[in-house]
Amino acid sequence: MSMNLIFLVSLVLGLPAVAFLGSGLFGKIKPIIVARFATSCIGFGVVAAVASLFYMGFSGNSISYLMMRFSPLSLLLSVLILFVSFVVHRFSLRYLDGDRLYSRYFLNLSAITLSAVIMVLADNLFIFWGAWSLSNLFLILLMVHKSEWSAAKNAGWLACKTLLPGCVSLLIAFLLMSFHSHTFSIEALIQDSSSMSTIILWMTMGLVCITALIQSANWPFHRWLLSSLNSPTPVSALMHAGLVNGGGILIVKFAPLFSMHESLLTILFIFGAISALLGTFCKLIQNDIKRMLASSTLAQMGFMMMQCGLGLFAAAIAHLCWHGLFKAYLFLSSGGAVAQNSHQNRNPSYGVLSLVVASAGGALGMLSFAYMTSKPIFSLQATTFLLVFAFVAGTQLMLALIGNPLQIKKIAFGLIFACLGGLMYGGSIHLIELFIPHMTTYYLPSLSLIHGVALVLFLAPWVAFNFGLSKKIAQSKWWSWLYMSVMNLSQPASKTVTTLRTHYHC
Amino acid sequence: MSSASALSIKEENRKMNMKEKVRFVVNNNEVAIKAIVENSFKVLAPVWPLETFIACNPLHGFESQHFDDAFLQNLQVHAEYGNASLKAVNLQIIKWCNAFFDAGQAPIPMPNRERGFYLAFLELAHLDKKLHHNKKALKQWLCDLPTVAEETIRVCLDRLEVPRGQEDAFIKRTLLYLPGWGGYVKWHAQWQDASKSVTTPISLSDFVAVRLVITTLLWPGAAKENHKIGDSDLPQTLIKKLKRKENEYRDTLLDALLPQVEHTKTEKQRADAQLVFCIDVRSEPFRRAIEALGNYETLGFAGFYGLPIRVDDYKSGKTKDCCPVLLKPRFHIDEAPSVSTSDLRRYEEGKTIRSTFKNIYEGLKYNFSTPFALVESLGLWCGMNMLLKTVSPVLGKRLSQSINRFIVPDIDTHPSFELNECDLDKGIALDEQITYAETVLRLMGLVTGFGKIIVLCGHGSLTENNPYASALDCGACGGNHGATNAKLLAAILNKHQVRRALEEKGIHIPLDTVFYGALHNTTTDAIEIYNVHRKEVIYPEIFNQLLVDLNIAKGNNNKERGEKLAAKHASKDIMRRSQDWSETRPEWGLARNAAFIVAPRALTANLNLDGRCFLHSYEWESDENGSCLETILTAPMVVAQWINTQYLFSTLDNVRYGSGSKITHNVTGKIGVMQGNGSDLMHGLSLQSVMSSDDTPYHEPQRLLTVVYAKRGMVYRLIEKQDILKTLFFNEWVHLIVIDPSDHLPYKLDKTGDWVVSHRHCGDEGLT
Repeated sequence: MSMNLIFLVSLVLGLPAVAFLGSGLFGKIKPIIVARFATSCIGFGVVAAVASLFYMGFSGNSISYLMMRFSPLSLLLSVLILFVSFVVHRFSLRYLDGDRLYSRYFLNLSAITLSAVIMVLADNLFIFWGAWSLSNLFLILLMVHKSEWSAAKNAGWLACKTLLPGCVSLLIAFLLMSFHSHTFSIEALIQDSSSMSTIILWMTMGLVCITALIQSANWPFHRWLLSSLNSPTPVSALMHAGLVNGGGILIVKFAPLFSMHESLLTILFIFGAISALLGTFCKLIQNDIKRMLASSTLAQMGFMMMQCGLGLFAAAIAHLCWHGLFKAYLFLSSGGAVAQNSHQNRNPSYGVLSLVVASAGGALGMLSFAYMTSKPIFSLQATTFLLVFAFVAGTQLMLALIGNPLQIKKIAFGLIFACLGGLMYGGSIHLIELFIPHMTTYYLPSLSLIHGVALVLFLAPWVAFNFGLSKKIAQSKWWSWLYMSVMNLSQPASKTVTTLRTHYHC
Repeated sequence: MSSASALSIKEENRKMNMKEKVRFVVNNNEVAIKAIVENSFKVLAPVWPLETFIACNPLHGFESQHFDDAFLQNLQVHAEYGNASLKAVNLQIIKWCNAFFDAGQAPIPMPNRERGFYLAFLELAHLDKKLHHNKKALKQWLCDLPTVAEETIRVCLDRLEVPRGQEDAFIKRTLLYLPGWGGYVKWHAQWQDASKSVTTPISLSDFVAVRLVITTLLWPGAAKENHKIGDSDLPQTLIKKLKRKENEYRDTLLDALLPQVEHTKTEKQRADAQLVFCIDVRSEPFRRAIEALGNYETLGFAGFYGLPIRVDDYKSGKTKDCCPVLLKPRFHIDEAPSVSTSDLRRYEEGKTIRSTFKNIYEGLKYNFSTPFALVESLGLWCGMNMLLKTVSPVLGKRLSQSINRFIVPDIDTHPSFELNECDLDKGIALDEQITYAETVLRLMGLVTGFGKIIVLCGHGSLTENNPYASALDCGACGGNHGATNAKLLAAILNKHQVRRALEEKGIHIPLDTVFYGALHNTTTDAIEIYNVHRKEVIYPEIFNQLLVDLNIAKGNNNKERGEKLAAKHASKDIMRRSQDWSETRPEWGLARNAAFIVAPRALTANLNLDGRCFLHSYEWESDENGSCLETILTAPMVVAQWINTQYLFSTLDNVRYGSGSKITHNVTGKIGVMQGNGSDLMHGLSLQSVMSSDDTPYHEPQRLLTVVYAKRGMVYRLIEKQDILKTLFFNEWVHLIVIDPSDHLPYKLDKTGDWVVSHRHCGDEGLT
């Protein structure tokens, strides 16, 4: 084990710790300078994490050290956390300028960074649990920001009430695990779970599942996420790129154990699918930018759970990384929403012919995706699921390009772009899979009826939407009913809305 | 004066005054209800959408009362909050308004909303469990409601047992529970341009009907609850403090101004360049900076240059009304490309490519099942973009600009305003051009002594990721950039036919005088002069020197502004602020505005007014009948008063009249902001626009002080003639000081209409 590596990985942990200590000790005295210092620490932390990730990625082996485990997976997640935290730190330097709670905010920010990094690196069950709970606690503190504003405080309470059972069920699971397997090490547990009886294992894994679903705000635990928008904008960015991914991270940490329990995976898949469908629908009818983004996160977290449910753990990690960056970017730039053009009446209704022609682009996009990620094509195994989504995206891309009157030139362009799109998509996924090759081996060998039904449920509204069905049925009774139901479902909890202006506090 | 703009302003004012006077009789019919509703809405000020943010007095409806009374009364109206049923009603109203007014956020809009707010609500309400809680009787009641909003209002008023004769008071009270959304309804119904096709039609009655239906369901006892009026000494102390500040400021200003009166008579040599700026307070420091650098003169005039136009902008593809909201646009013109056909083709191609990419992105993003692949493909790029933008906003902006330019090259545009046969609705007839040109020159007092180069500067801001961007743009141009108006007036004044006609009217513009349109970027202080190559430059050396001096002035003014922004390296910091996506205070806008000075520049030229004064050029000698002054006081001054009161109230109570902190803003429907998960439409200015930190205000709350350099007899005649002036001055929404050229004494108009010599140094010379 090289000293260089140890030095690097200790920086990954040490720099956020320095940022935290600095903010805690001197934040009150020189808030701005200390905040800048903390930001730089986190920035160097990113560099250290990237360096150690590459170092380890090439050497290919993992090390355990002081109850921490430095594997490509944990370092990859550290890079994500530190990167998003760095951007959020930097953004907040100016964004929160003049805020009464400036120094406390930065203290919480570096605290959550430190605890999240510890969480992804921890190998000891109870260090993991502690870091997990602390991260959630700091998240709630950041969300509330100014407790005089009752709506924000209520949103914090709601998050607390939702996340706390998750922490408790995780604690029970871990106690059961350590009691029955006589080890505190996650790695040891994964390597050899034979000491636990099947029922105990199933129970513990079930508890972990519940925690994961709560953390990732999957249906029916989604309310706290949709009610979380009283937080300062950068906190939302941090949360949607970081903490809600916790569910996925948790599942992937125990991936080898989950892969032995197909029934649990199927449950995850079902909850994920419901969340993804619900989130997509909610998103399309939201009228304010932030709740639209939150609904979209609900959908994306559902998709991530579906990937986990199919045993596609590497794909899930890729999804949580890229979605995190995407969503953080959209949150931070949400102030520009006024300047953007209207999204309404944007959906043209395409003809059947267009859709058929475009599906050629979809097929091409799918093939190039499969090529980039070296996935088999006609096998009807779990990876096929991803291919369907690649196909849908490719088709949509080509549809947008060719428009309604068909032209040869446009079709040619469409095919080229669909191909490029597929390569880009595949490239993104492959980039992540490169670092965690062992994670790509757990997927389900074959798709079941449930998966088939889910696919149909995803494809049908997509086809309908492209045929302009939403406009055609806009007058119908059942559409009104559906609209109203989803509208009410996607409302934040009533106590977290500032119904009276004077109850706002700044 | 025959000025069309002045006439239409007067017309508007008269209409507003008429509305105030009408008293309504309560009857059981539709018209009566409509009248009650319209009357009730007076308690709300209209709220403009964010895209064309207009400063407006939040107590607009109370201007007929004295300032102190209006202020006290408003604080009391708000004191009765806290009821759970009220919260439940507001929660639902917020939900429905949010869904209905969406101007482009949700890809799938609320069904049936083209039929109007009330009808759309009616179609859905019986399906809303949050309203009827699955109770059969209530569901049936909802289904049986009349389709006419006014009838429903009657039904609900009866069901709520509102006593006859108190409908008005009851509705007023309910409106004040959500003043932001109500104000937006008011804008929609009364201020929005009626000729535009509206996707979300709403009448005042629609809103009240929905409000009352929901109240009937969720708060049946609303009318019975006796509302407590909160009492506190706070408003009294605030008003006292306000008055002290105002007096102090007035004395200091007059101390500075009075000695300057002597300078108004001095003859000057011909200026190398005259620069006309908007009356905006941000022009004052820049005018000082440029005047110091050479033989330059500056003037102040409303930034729409007297031209009420609607512009079809070629580049953005949008149509905007570039004139004060008190006016309706009279002319429709194009901002058309002025480049060769090949460049234009290249531009068009680039635009197609860009919109194709956008189409793909939005097609994938706002759809079923496709966003999953989209985020995975774009995550890496978003991450890199995010990193660049936070680490170096300036570099990030430059990079994204050059990529954008590479795809779509920038092209010059110019206003195309001549009448043409293809489109009869557009263009300005020659005689109108002449009339407007004459009016504008007379209004700004520029009828003799034309310089060699005259630059007409519109102004606009440049900020990033800022929902309040348009609040920093030109208020006189309806919250838009003022470049088109400036370019248009320059083009008109450069026309030979116009100059010849002006000659006949006694305005001699020398042949070597050339007009240019320009844009003053108030965020960075850069001045961009447009279409330079389209005109023959007669004095190239003067022109080039001017460009150099403008750049120096920019640096100097940056330094002055930098101190207020607490910047170490002013120019660098100011540049960053305009491009940083995390900046909540890109510039101070019109904060600290305090006075409106109507006088020749000579009166203020030697003074540092600290960027706190609106400066309108005015020569009393050439305005014998006072018509120019009448226009200035009834139009630009009213706009200045709106701005002033907006800043005033946003600072005094940022929660009630402002929009709270930007850090938790949530842009809704692309039309406004809410706080967090949802709230009243937060109208007014954000905390960061008026405060330098959570606890320290930057803006000095004080009412506008108007200083006019003219004969007081004439000013008094104008006040007698114009109700709006009586309202503003006698109710002390604006303080008036007239410096009389005959005795050089400052006179203050008091509440009773007498002139009082108002200055500590002038002693007790008494009443006149």
